[in-house]
Amino acid sequence: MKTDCSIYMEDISLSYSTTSGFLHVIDRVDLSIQNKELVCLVGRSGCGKTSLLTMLSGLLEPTRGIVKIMGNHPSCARNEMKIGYVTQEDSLLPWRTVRQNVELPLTVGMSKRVYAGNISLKDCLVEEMISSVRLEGFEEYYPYQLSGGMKQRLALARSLVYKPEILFLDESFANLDEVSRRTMQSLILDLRDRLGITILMVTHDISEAMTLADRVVIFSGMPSSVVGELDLTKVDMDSRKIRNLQEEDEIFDQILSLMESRS
Amino acid sequence: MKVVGSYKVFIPPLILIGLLLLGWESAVRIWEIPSYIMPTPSGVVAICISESALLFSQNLYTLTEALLGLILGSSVAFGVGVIASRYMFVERAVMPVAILVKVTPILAIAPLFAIWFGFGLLPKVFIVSVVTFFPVLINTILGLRSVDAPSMLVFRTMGVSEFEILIHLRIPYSLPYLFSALKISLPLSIIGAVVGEWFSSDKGLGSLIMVAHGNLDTHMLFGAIFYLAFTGILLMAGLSLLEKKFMFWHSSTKTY
Repeated sequence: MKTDCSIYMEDISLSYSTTSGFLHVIDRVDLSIQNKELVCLVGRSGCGKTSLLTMLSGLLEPTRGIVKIMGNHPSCARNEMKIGYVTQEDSLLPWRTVRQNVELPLTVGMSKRVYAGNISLKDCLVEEMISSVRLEGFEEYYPYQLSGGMKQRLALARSLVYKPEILFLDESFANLDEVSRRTMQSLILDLRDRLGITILMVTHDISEAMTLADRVVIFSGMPSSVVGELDLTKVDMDSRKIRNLQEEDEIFDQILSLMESRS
Repeated sequence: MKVVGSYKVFIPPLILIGLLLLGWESAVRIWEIPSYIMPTPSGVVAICISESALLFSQNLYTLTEALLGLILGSSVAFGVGVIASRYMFVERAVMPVAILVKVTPILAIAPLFAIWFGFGLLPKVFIVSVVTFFPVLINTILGLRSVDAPSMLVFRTMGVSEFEILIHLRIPYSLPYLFSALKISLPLSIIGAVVGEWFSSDKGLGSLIMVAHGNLDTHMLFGAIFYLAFTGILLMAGLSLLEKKFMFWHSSTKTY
């Protein structure tokens, strides 16, 4: 196992026991993600992408194989608040203001002990994170008073305020309009560079994966497994905006054909 | 603008109540119904004013029984609900007993409470607790389990303890269920207190109703009923205010 891996999976399989029988969801996945890498896991809806994230968060045990987060069992990383998670659906607490939502992770779990005696540091972190996601001026607003894009930015701020080392994005931009989606994408790239966190994003949107990822991992089949990988750092990813259209189309088609290969 | 809005809300029920009272007053006078069978509303109002000190003090006693019983019953139900929502075997153990108590008519249990606990405040408080327990228990269990799934996922990913999840997620998300339970339990608490007084009290509006009934004093009987109804309305209005205050974020409290 490589020591600089943030996320390491070896021969991972996952099965559920359901009322209608045994469901084999993930089959023998090997995947490792380096520190500060931004990986997009692309696959069709219902192929087990969220199950994989749940497993990596230590909330679900694999049927077989090894999962390591920062070299430890995922539950250790979870208890040490090293994981941030942004869901597709609204996960904000509607009775808390923007500020109170962002502040919440600093008042629970391990953070509670760390920040209990340091209110000024806590306030400073909250202000900084609200500003990072461009929600200044909305601190006293409630989630129901915000737009969909603002809510997702708030969810992102809440997931990053306690300085996790890994961020899981579970189709987090799927419900957003195009403008909000682009805002979120640029925000993610900006925060990744500034905070130096490892990001694993699951999505069914190939274009989004191409825009954001250092590496695209294609997940397909039932049970799902990794059917291909594309290292976009080698494909002129430093100048994504000026990459020629023909090259972009070729990558898109390549990912799509891999997604369809075992469907 | 807000005052005009509230004014509009109160006008329709006030008109209806006014028409009903007018019809009642007219019917009694036209058909010359004896007052021991049916008093006139004006006679009832007169008694409510002339005997206001008596009615008010007796009402206060009944209200105390009702509220103490409601607090006791709801608190125990909430505590049991918290444990039952966490441990399925506790729910399985508690539910048959709770259902048994619920389906047994309170009129059948009330005399027993008088034998066991005497004629003071206690038997009435216990009767009210019994009648208010079940709605709060059921709604607590359901409410604490009805946490928004994405919020729960995010919380669990942060390594938050079960107690913190209870405080920050489960209880706030159960508020709509708890307020629904209280809307059922609050009127039940007044009914429970009155029923309790019928069997074991010389105080309270329930007791006053029994005395008035024995004397064929329908004016006093209706006066006591009006005081009870008015108290119930005030309590429900207070509960609605609390609901709006604590559930301002919930779609049920918003008007679109």
